[in-house]
Amino acid sequence: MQGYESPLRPVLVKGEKTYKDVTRDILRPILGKPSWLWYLGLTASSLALLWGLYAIGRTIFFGIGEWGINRTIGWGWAIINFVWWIGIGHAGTLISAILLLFRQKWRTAVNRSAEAMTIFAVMCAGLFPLLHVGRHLVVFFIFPYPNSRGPLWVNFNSPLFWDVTAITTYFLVSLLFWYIGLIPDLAIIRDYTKSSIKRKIYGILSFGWLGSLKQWQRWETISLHLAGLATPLVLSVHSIVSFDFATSVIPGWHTTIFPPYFVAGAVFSGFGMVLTLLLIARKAMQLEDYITVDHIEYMNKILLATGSIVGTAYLTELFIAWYSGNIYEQYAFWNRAFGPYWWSYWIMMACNVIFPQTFWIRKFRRNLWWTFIVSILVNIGMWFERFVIVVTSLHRDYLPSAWSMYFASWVEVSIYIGTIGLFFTLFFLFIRFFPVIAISEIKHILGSEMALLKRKKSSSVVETEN
Amino acid sequence: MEKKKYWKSLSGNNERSQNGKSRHPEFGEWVENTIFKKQLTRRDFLKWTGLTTAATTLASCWEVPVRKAIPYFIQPEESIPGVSVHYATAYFDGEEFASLLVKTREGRPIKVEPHPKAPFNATSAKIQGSLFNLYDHRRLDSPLHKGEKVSWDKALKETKALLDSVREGSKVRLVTPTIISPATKKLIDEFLSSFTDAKHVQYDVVSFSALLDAHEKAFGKRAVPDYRIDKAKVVLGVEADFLGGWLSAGEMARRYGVARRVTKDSPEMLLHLQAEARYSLTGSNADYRYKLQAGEHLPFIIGLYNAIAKKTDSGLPTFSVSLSQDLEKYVAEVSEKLLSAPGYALVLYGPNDLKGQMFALAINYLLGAYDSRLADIEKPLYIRQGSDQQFFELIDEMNKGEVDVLILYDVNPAYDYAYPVVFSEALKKVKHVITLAEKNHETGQLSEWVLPSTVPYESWRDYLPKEGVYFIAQPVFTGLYNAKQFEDVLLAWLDKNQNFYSYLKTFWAQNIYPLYGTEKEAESLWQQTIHDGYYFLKNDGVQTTENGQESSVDWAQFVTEASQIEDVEISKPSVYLYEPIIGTGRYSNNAWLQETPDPLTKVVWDNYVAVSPSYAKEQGYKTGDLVKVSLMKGSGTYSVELPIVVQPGISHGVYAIAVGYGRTADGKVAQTGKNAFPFASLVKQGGNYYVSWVSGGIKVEKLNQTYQIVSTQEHFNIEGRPIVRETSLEEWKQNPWSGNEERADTEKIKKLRKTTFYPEREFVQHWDMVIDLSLCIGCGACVVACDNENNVPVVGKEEVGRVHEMHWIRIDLYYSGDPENPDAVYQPMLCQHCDHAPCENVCPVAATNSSVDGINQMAYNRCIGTRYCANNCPYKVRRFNWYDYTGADSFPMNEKIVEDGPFANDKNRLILNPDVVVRSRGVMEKCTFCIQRIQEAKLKAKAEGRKIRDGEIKTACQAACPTGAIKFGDGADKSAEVAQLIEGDERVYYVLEELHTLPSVAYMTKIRNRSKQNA
Repeated sequence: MQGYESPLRPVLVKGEKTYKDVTRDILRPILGKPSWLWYLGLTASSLALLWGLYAIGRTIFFGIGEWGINRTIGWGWAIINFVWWIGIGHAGTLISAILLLFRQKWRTAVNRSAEAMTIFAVMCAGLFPLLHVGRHLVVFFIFPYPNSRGPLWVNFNSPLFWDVTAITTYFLVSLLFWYIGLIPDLAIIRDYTKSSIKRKIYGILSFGWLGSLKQWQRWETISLHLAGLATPLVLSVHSIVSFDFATSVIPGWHTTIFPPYFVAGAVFSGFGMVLTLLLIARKAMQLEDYITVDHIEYMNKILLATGSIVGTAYLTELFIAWYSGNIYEQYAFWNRAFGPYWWSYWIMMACNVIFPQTFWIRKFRRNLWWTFIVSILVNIGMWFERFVIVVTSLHRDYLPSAWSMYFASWVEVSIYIGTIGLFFTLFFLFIRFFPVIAISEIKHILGSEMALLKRKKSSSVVETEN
Repeated sequence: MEKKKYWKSLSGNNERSQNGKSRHPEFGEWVENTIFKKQLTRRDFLKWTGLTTAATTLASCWEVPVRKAIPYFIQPEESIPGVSVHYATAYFDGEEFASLLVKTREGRPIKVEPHPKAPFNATSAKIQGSLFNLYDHRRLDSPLHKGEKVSWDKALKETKALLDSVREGSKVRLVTPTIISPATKKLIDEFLSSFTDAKHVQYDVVSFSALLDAHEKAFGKRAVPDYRIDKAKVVLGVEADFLGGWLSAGEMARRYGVARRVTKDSPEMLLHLQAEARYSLTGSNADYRYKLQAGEHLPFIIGLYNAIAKKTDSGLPTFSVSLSQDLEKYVAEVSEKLLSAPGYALVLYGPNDLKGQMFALAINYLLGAYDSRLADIEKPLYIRQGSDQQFFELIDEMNKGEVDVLILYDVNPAYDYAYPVVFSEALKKVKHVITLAEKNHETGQLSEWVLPSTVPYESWRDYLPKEGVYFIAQPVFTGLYNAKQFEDVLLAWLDKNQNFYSYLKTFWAQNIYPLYGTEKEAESLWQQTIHDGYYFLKNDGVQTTENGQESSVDWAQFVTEASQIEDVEISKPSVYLYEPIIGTGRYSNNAWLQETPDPLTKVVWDNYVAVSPSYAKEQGYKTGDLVKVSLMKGSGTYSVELPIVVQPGISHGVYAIAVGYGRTADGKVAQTGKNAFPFASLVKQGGNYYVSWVSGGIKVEKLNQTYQIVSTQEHFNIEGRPIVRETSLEEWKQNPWSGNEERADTEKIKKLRKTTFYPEREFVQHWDMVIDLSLCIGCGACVVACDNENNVPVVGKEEVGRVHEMHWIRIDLYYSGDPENPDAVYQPMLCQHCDHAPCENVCPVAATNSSVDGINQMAYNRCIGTRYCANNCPYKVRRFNWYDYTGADSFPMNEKIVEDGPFANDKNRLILNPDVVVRSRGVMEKCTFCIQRIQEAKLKAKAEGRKIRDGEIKTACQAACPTGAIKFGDGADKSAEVAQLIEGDERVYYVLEELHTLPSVAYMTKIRNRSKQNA
């Protein structure tokens, strides 16, 4: 008995590829000389990184006073960016873990870069909680380490402590997952490279991978286990991040809807970022055969779904604020939409709720330019969502006497630019030294895909082109 | 045979194995093996030596600041390190008198508190901040001759020679502020009598000349009656900011508090009426505020006189005066209210205008205030004695070049006179000017000689602020600056080989104690007086007129004379000057006061032009717009550029400007703002000149520039939230829950308060505070006291502008009603010390937690500064050290310390309280309920083997509060005052109680003395 093969499922790898083609195509940027564009990109992003480091230096030397936050608004861009980056870091794990468990084969083309993106994004995110504290030298107090100060322990009631735990776990698991996946590919590079130094380095990095049956078996097992571990993390990390707000007493923060709403938002923004990056990468690195329009469409469907969840959550919040009869809650939401920061609310609404709705139409889903624009809008919208949550809730809470306004200082903006620099610096290094697409996993599905291709050709099914 | 094994403890016995060696090497295996087992080779030894040498060298490369701490050779008798000593003393700054208790630690004064027993024991914000002036490093440290430093020996010798040369026939003039010290007065007389033509002129910055002259005309006594508003039932203030800077802010506020306190046992309160054009602190507290137009105070007071003279059937003549419709209405209403309490009604008339003062005096007579001693002229106040006319005459003499030697003590007319330029020009025509001052101020810089004088805290002095009550001020500190007391300089000039202390003692023995008529020995009396700080005189010591004070006055003639005095025309637009929290110049360099928000606008670090919302709209002004205000004065025009602040309640066309800013010859802090004194004008009435703080006919020009005005509160609308609760006296009498109806169902509230998932907390001791909103007048004394007590950083204008102010207690102000004449309500807001504190559960490192006695405490050392606690505080009372505001970090390059502020340098830092840690950058801080005071009291009680008594602990804000709005104590002790209030008073409520934070700070519904809330 043959398994049921959907006649309409498009082929995931375009063009008739042999195993050798796959290796050659994907290793091309690693083995060859990088183009001037790569150098330009790396220079620009590392300059941004350096600028960010300067701003970080100022923050550490002079104090948090360098930022625009104040007595009333204790968190600003740092926490907004933290949540934003963490959100972006969600797609990788979702693609690798959940889609692996659901046996979604299309993930093979995008999972590697999505995972890398996750790790870099979590690194950027993790920087902010460390930086935003007042006393950087004693930030280790937040870890539950054994100490000589008597029974001095962290506060297990604090969502910030849960946060530290959740993010550290998430980062470690994501890193492991990503690296384990890389091992066979690193071995391929080791075998292909002509430079003896590179061979040595890749040899070390690939842990002496030989591709024996036993190794493949163990590799499969650990991948599956890590996928199992990572799956709950996808849900837990952003739920816990949302607790940073939800467990407080501040109107606009104190909401039980936050965990699902945050997770959906995170996946939403993560896919937005994956799309932005992949649309550039497939063009720049000529990987159109591996990252096809169908891949883009799948991801757009996820954008549509999560965007709609987020939109529903926004409306639910408004309804509950009205329904609660709580004057503080009602004012908080009125203030979001019509207060001094009204513009941030409407940017959020437009970018997150209105634009992704165009993806109900197939034509928009398959339009690369439109996808590119929306993917960027999604990330702008999600940034503003965090701005709305963090700033507009805080700036006018209970006592009108304490109300105030918040304007980011150049230092805060610079640190944000710096993390974007860090992200892209790492990403540029990644595409230069590691395979962007998981070679071994593509090869894994190549046989079935080629067979599918042949069958489609013989039955003269017309492929829809973009 | 096996060796006998000795062991110290059971665990030690078990831990060690048979051969006596530890199973767990103390320093780890590696160290044990390599170093202790002597496996260290020569090479290893050299390596280790090298490493440790290099490490120590590197570590010692950093330059460590050397701070000198010199131990006592012989420990002073009273000074025990770590134990505070309190001294009774008294303070008079030329305006305000207060009897104080000064807390000293290791010999240095760190805090002033009201004297617990003496009269006049109330402190205003200024008095609370006055201790800073003692340490201010801008003080003069050496006599100056033409700007050059000279030694005291030389200075005294040469000035003495100078004075000796003018003993005969030359004019010598001495200018001082009001002197209320009997001994000093006698000494001045002795000094002046050593010249053939010498005169003493008293010069008051806040002049009461007209009021004094009016009383002289009526009673032959040039003194301020002691206004007993504590005994009054109705008080009317006419442009008299008596809770602010008008007479004696602290003492008047204390009396106001006495009269305004409402309890269930005595449910009556003072009815406060205020008629004014400027919206003053006092006006904002009034039950009924009558908005006068610019310059209408004079017609109003005459109209009021007419009405009262008619209604009382006094037979006194009335005088025609044209009143606007509003004024007619006001007069009718006010006169009715005043006459409703005969003998218990009082009118305080503020402007320095003779005609108005005389009519106000006549009104008080008609109301029976002098008879009932509500305005006590028999035992009057002496805290204002200056005469504008005398000072005017002095300038005339100076201008004519007749004055040979002018001695100026503690006055600064080159800054604070209405015509500073005229004065400065006249000063140039004086042959020799000797200035005695704490600082080389504006006048000092124009003087030939400047001799540094001591501040009151360094001086021996006696005070007679009110007839019959004598105070002794003992110095609580000395020697930081090379200054001499004014009286000691006089004694040196008189060639008396005596210091003022012995002079004072002799003076008291000869003049004061005999009045007492006791057999007690002078020495023991003296010791007792110094210990107590004050001395009451029995009535028999005072010569008073018998049978009423006004019997001898011909009132018809008095009012007729008043009516003949020329009117003062104030044309629109007009400028109204007022004294702000920083005072009139003496305290301008005091960063605590500069950073204490103005009660009504919450603006800090600046003076500005306050205008009404409707006028601003009409003129196109917005807060922050720069305007050029000019006033034609005699020969020249004085103009300054000041920013506009739109303030509700001011009258149309009135520009209100605070004095005391814009010092040019003082520290950096004092230089903020612009000098507004020149906007005062001289007005001639009844042949004498008076300095008027109201001037008409100013020109205002809007400049196309803006200026950053910084305030600590931006939103004054309460948005319908039940944060402050208020009611009227009538409604409250009918229903004690009125205004606080939410809590009327006590059973439900009790149940709700106990609803929790967690086990209920039991408290053996629970510190609670109750703040009566009826009594809080918003003066800001608590803010300054807290700054001083708790080493609260001063952050400066720029940082306040970035909403980084650090105050642990703030006074929230909410306006309600018509923006042109609003009601104001003040709410002191500090850490509420919640039993279920939202800040506590969110701190990841448990740096903030709840103590067993209900205090929400901060462990600064543990705090890493996530600021989540501040975000999650519904009261927004937590303060974060955004920068190094205190110099607590080791790098000098990253400090953000206000220049000339309390943290600025070693001398200024002497003011810091050693019991309170100075917080470093990056940690959160907030009100601690003055935990150091609680601890001190606990230790004392423990040492004495008793429980802490109710009322024994006073927080700094509570002690400073002149009206007694704040109560503090152990809520778990059912007999304590706070416990009884919380348990039994219907007015008690908690802010945001519905959040179930269970705060320890309770508020009491504000009661206005009205029939209905919005009447």
